[in-house]
Amino acid sequence: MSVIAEEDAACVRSILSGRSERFRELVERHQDRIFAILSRYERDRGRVEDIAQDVFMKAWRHLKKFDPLKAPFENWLSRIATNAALNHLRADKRFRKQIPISQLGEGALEWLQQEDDSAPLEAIEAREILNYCMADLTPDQKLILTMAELEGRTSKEISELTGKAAGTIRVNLHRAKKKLADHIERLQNLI
Amino acid sequence: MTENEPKIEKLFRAARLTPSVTPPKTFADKVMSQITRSSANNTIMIDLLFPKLAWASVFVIAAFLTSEVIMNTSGLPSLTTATNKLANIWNSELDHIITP
Repeated sequence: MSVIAEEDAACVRSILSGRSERFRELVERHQDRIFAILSRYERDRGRVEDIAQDVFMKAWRHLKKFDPLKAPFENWLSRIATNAALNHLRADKRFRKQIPISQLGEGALEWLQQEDDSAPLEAIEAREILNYCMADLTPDQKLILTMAELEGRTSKEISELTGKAAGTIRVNLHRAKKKLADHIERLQNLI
Repeated sequence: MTENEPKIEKLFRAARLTPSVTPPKTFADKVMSQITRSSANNTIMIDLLFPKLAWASVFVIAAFLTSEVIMNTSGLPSLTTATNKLANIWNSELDHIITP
């Protein structure tokens, strides 16, 4: 067990024995990681903060269920954040309308029009294109694709965080990439 | 997958560089105050429920006492007598089982 994992486990024990103020230590230690995970799924600062608060409140309510022998606190919390992200994507799918192509910035459109990939691309523009092209994907596909390609996680890690079999993850990832490629191609033909 | 594959790879590489939203300095304070509020809510819930439970118990006891008084005054077997009879029958049954 790593030093941080041991510290976290000790902190949880202390909280469960009545020192609830020590939960602050856990929040301060893991808030950056949780914000980083959630930022991949939502760009609005206020909404990211709301979801992050929900994540920590859920952790607080279910702290008794945390078992340090099964996984470090960090992984347990990341799992809660992943579930929160998936729920957010599902809710968002119901309420968010398809972004009109006119909302894509000039830089993004220019990059898409170019035949090769040598032209520079800003991170914000890349996010714009991805947000537009991932709109057709199911929330699960969006989650898996984001975890694999933007967070750089392996199928095994994604499987641990989502509770789905690694084989299912690989199949879903392949389908999501294919769907994304088709969408980008359609978009290029449209411009 | 497609001829677009290198382009898609580049798209992901660029998107990975998008800066994350950073937590505000007061984030931990907000979480902790929410926790305090939810704990206070639990206490409030118990405070709200306790008088109701107390009144319910008072009502049940009062109903028993009233029925006892009414049964006694009207000459009907009271609940105490009936309960005693039932307990005696039960005890004698048990005596048979324990000492055959």
